Amino acid sequence: MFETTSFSFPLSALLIPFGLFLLFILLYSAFSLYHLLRFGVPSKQLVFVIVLYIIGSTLVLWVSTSLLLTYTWNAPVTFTEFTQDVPTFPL
Amino acid sequence: MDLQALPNHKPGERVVLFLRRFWFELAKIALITLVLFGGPIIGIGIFWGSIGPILERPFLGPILTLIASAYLLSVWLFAFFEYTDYYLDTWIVTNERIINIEQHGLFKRVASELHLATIQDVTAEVSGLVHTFFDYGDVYIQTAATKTRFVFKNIAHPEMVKNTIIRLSDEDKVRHGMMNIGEEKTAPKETVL
Repeated sequence: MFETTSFSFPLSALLIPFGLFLLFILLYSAFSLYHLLRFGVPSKQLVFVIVLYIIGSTLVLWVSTSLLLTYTWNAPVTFTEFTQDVPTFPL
Repeated sequence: MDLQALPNHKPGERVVLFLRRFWFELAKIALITLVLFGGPIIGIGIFWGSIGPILERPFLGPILTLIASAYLLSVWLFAFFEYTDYYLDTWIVTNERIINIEQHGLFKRVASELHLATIQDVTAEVSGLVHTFFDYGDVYIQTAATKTRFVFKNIAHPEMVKNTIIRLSDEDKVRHGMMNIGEEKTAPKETVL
């Protein structure tokens, strides 16, 4: 029968869906930016919002990356470690 | 889009009104973004004593960081989408026609125009305490068709916009010989927003 204790996966596997999600964000940001630049009437407000969006996104990515770099990504994660890692709260 | 080079530009045509939804719509987007974006960040800051140790765990730490990052980026992108939708919904009134451009999502854009001479009825509607206080509402423009053609949604000074469109329509009808001089209704002075 399937043994949960022997099941393991590298922690870096979590980065794959995150990477796909980032690609989605990048694509849709580009679509939105294209529409604004192609069809929008140029104005200071538009420039301000675009710059704000780029700065905000960069900031979130920078902080996330800084935090993520502190973890050991090549360590394997077993099912036992996962269940032990989840915090339990007293009833 | 260049306002000086509208599609099907006619000689002597000039832009009289360039309209977008009232700034309240933008403020709503900003407020919602502030709550969804700033709320969790402030919460993490306040409860850092409890959250900090959880982030140090070898499995839970990375997964929570990834989820938090994904959430914040999603909220930020959502706000950008909403702004794009707000910014690209425009109504342009010239001395010849009305151009209605509406953005529905990212991949659907509807642009239509009607000539001022075909307008039969213009109605301004301001409903509610906030709308009345800030003077913004809807303007409905009706041609001979049974269905209402254009709706200017949540625009500033709808009464002034209505009067301007009626005046422009009457002037256009006189220009095209559809009305005699002197039959056009009087209206307040033109105000360019």
